[in-house]
Amino acid sequence: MIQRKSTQKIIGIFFFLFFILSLTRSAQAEQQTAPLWTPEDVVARPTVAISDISSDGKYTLMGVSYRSIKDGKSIEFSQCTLINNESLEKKIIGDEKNSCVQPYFIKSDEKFTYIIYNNQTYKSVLCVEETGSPKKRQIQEIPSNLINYRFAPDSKSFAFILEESPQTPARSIEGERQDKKQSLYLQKVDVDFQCIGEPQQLTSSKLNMASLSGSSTYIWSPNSQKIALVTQKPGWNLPAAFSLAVLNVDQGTFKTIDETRGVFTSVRFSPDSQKLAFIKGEDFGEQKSPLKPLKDVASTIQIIDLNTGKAESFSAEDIWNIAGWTADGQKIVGIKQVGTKQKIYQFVIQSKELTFKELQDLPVIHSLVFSQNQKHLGFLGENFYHPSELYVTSFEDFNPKQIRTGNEKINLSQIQAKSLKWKSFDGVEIEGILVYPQNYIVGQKVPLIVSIHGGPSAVESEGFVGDTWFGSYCPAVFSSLGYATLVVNYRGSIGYGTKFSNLNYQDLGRGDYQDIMAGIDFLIKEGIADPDQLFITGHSYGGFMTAWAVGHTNRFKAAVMSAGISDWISHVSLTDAPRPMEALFGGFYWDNYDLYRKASPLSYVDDIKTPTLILQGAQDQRVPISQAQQMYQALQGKNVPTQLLLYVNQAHDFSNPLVVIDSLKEKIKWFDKYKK
Amino acid sequence: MVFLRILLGCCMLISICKSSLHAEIQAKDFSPNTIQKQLLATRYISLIELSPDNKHLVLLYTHPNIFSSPQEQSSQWENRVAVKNNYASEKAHEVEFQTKGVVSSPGWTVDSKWISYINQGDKFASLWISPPEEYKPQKILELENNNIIEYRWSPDGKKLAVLVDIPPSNQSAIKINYSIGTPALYVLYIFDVDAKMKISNQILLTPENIAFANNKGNQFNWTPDGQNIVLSHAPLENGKASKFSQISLIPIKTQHLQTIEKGEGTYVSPLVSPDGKFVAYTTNDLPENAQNPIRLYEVDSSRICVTDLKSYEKKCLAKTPNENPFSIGWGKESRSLFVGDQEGNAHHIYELDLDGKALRRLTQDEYSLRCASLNSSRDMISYSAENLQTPSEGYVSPIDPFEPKKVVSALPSLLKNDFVVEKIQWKSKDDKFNLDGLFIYPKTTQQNSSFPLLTILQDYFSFLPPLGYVGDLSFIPLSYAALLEKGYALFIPNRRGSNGYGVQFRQALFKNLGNEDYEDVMTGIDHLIKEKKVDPQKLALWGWGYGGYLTAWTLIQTDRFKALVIGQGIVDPIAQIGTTNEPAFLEAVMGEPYWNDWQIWREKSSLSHIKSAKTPTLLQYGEYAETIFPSQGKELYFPLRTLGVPVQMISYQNQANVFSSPHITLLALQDLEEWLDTHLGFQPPEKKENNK
Repeated sequence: MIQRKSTQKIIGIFFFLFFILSLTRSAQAEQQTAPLWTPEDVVARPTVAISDISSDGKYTLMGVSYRSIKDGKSIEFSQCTLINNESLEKKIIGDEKNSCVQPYFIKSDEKFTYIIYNNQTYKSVLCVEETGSPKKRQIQEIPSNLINYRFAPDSKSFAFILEESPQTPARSIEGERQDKKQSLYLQKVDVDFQCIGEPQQLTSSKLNMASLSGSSTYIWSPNSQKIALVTQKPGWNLPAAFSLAVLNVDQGTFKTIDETRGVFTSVRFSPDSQKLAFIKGEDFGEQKSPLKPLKDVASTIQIIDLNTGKAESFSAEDIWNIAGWTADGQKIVGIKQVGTKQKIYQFVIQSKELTFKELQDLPVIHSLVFSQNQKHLGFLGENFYHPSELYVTSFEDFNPKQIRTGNEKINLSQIQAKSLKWKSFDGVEIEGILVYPQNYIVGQKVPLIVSIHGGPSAVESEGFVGDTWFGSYCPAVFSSLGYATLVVNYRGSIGYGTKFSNLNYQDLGRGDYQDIMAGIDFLIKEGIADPDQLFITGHSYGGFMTAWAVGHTNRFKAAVMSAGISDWISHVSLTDAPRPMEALFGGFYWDNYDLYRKASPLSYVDDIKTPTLILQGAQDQRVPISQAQQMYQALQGKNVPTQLLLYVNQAHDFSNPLVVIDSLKEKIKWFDKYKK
Repeated sequence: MVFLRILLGCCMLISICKSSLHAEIQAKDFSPNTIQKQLLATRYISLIELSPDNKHLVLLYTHPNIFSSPQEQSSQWENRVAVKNNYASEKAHEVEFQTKGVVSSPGWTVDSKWISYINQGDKFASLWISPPEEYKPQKILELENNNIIEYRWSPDGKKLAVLVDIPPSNQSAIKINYSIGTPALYVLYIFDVDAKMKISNQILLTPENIAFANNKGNQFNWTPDGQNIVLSHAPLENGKASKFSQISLIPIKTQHLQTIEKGEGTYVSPLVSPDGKFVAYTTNDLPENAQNPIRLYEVDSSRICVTDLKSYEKKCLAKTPNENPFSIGWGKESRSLFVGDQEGNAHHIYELDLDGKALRRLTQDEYSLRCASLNSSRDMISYSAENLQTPSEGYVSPIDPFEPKKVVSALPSLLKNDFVVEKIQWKSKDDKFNLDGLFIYPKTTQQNSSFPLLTILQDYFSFLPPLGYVGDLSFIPLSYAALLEKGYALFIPNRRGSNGYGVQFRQALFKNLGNEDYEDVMTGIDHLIKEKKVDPQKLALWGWGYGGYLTAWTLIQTDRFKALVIGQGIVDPIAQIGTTNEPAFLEAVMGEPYWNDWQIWREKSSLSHIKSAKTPTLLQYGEYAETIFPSQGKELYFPLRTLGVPVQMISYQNQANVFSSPHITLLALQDLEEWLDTHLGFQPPEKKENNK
């Protein structure tokens, strides 16, 4: 009996050895073939953006940005592409030396304009060209600090923003905005697009156009008589005071429509120019102690009748933007987050009915653009396996047509990915996305990199796995090297309703952390994740979550904290955006010191054993470097293996292609070091 | 301690000036007033050394220089080499070298024929010589990729030892591999020198890179026989320098490093006796410090000790009263050593006998000394001295009898010394210490007026000589002359923790920040209000570095002050220890890392009680300060601004731990004065004639 048992055991060991050997062999074979998706691939692909669509739906204007590395330096340039949506014929403007940006149709789509600037000298010209028969004509040189122009729909004038960089002072006074000053100007042109007279400054020298990244701060009314604009009061930036006004262009008069300490985005005129729709950001109001929780200050959609001043307000729950009004003036259309999907919504103003335009195989829609007459739509759509592609359609006969931009050749369907849901400690349902290692065989237990998004009011969607998600981790790169990736829409994320996104109120690092750990346990239970090969990383709030996690468990073999917060008390005074902290904590630390202290990863540094790499942009204003330094000093002091890499010219979002590549490589190097 | 720091000031200038070379700012109409003119005419003697033949003196003057053009203004601190030929005779004449670039370390060759000095130049710091009687510069040594940091001629003048830096390797074009206190690395080379001063035959004396302890002092010297170099260095382990340094000897022949002394402490400034038998050094590795968990060289008791180079027998010499000596050199017969130290507010020179008992103080008057050196025959000492009324001047004295003669006069001052200095004494609240401080106030004809009072809290390791001339510009934005001129009285209390009063006093604030030292300051002010003409309604407080910490602490203790000024102050100790490049001080005074004792760290942060803040506060920080980052100031600015307490924070462009651009220092001084004037509601009395 005893003998038989030991024989079995021996066989067992041999079998095991053989298994190991074969694994090693296949691993070697895998290493010899190039990985499916490398950090270099992440930045090599051009990024497309839709700029305008003609009112007849026949033409699309697109911006394409190229990033490449030459001799260790990153080279970036942009092209404008005019596409005939029927013949798919393309006209490309711009090259490595001269970038083309901001292409728009004018003069009822007969012509289009764009800016060409020299990539070295930034010398810029504004060009106009015929849409049908391309015959380029330069209309004028423009200052290189012109950052945004739009022609009036009647094409008789154009508005533009000039940006003045502040001079470097010998002494800089804290609290005075260091922003570049932005002023709005108007230039009249004749029928040949020659300038008539000097440009006229529309905003006074005291007023500064709001600098909202990725969002235009002014818009023409369809009747060309008005401009709606968002301005920002100068001075102390804590109560960032934004103002939305409508300018009567002929009379030069301003009328303030609304003010907020949050932000205004997606300002859109109704087709008759009589109404304005916009999203009003969370307005915290005057500082009170303790501050109202987030749920009382959520964003709203506002629709204001400019004649009567009558305003209607709707919840903007999980709504990303308003792309425009429908031609009948009855609905507004835009993008809404629904779980891990981004959908086109239409909202009927009268009935408050919200419906979606469902699209097969395109879970993520963005960059929705209406034609001037509101009848045609262009947008970008993507899924796990294919990067963003351009689609155009009539709004009424909704039937999107794919316009191939070159990205269709990319197919990462060798990598499986899926959304999945699990229950957290308190029964709350949490959704996440699992990206399997390349060529995953069912039943394999694999190393898992849990990657945590920032925000916390942000979300992971079912987008292309070959992009950097949250600017910090690329699931396809991890998959190519045998890692699975789990991203988690922990409580506080958007896309699941206001109640869910407020569940983290005064609870940072508690519930959200358990949501993440429950997801990991779920994958272990499912037999996918190897419990002895767990890794964690995250950027910004995700970096905080990473630092928090290693202070609360030793289950992770290694961690990479990227632009994360380690000490909320110092952070709140140093970040350029303290208001969200005030809202999340329900006040500042002097109102509740213990809450801030207990939420700070540094308070748990005594328990940290996990080797932790720290990545940080040296120019980060959102999460300044002291957060990384404090974490590093603590880990060093506790003799925990650590390294802090400071990217010299990098701000909060790791956008420099060199940094994208290097940070991914460093991350992999760190995880590989602690992988079995 | 202060004495030492000031001497180091000469070395520090090299790096300060490097960074300021490109400091350019927009043109500003700048027409200096009398005080500013005087500040810009500042001239310190940072080095004064007799020639080996005792006939001449080499001097290093340090002074601010502002370059103005219609488009831009920039400025820097400059060093200028000068030679006083035949200094003691009627034929004495001074030659100032018209050097371009940043110069340092001037000295004599052993034959007195040449002045040698280091010039930063365009690329790398190189070694130059010039005859003393006429400026005829000649570059004699330049290395391809390294800066020459220091050099020593061998006793016979036939060899040269050169210390060069190793460029840091932790940085690529896109990223820095960050670390705290990564030591700067060096190597030593030995060269042959021929009669025509031609340098040849480079030998690498230190096959492995060397690092120095935090406190650099005097790092290396020749043995009198010219066969060896003695060296103070901090051993390297995994790229980190040990916090304990050691004394080693390297024979030129074998290049085999032998350790002479090491242990649990700092060993600096090795000097071999003229008879070659002993090596003397300064150390805090003493039995009385063993119990002390703090082990911070600047604060510990330290002594001069001597090791017999044959028997390795070690003995320590008499303690200086302040127990923080800095060695100047061995006496003639190898029987004594000359050292400097602070005593009260003044610096003194002492002779310590080798028998370990006797101590003789040579200097009598109350001066701050910036540098002191012994001549080759070891019978004369030269030094520079200054006090509140007199700018930096050069003195030479025989050792026996010690009768100093002024050999270099100060430049004529634009100021009349129309102020009074009084030494104030009072008892600490807990009766533990007799405290003193300086009370300086303007001479006034008005009988019954009382002064607005600015109390000045210096840093823990002050950059300022305690008795520095009031009309001098400093490396930090504070000017006694400008404030006196405005009608303010000044109070400089020596609170516990201050240097000059011995070890017990220096260590009194360990694990006790902001408690008794705050009380010391407040009782001092109360004493002044009671005894002197001080207006209790017009009190202001200024603090720099740790003094800034104490000022931030005061902010939450009392609203007696009408205005506070915090310069480069520590505000949040937890964030400070996590960001500074010099964590040793806080580590030492807090006693435990914060993760071992959250409560005490939290209690020591004024942010924990920030709601009680009421006093208008000005925060002044150098943009690139790395010992105390401007983020410390922002951590106070944000809550005060949000809570509605009047506050202003100004960061000064291109300035680091010390202010390297004099014109920006002047701007910062104006900011300080404006803040005080505004918040004390103080109108200066009738203007005096020289205020135009």
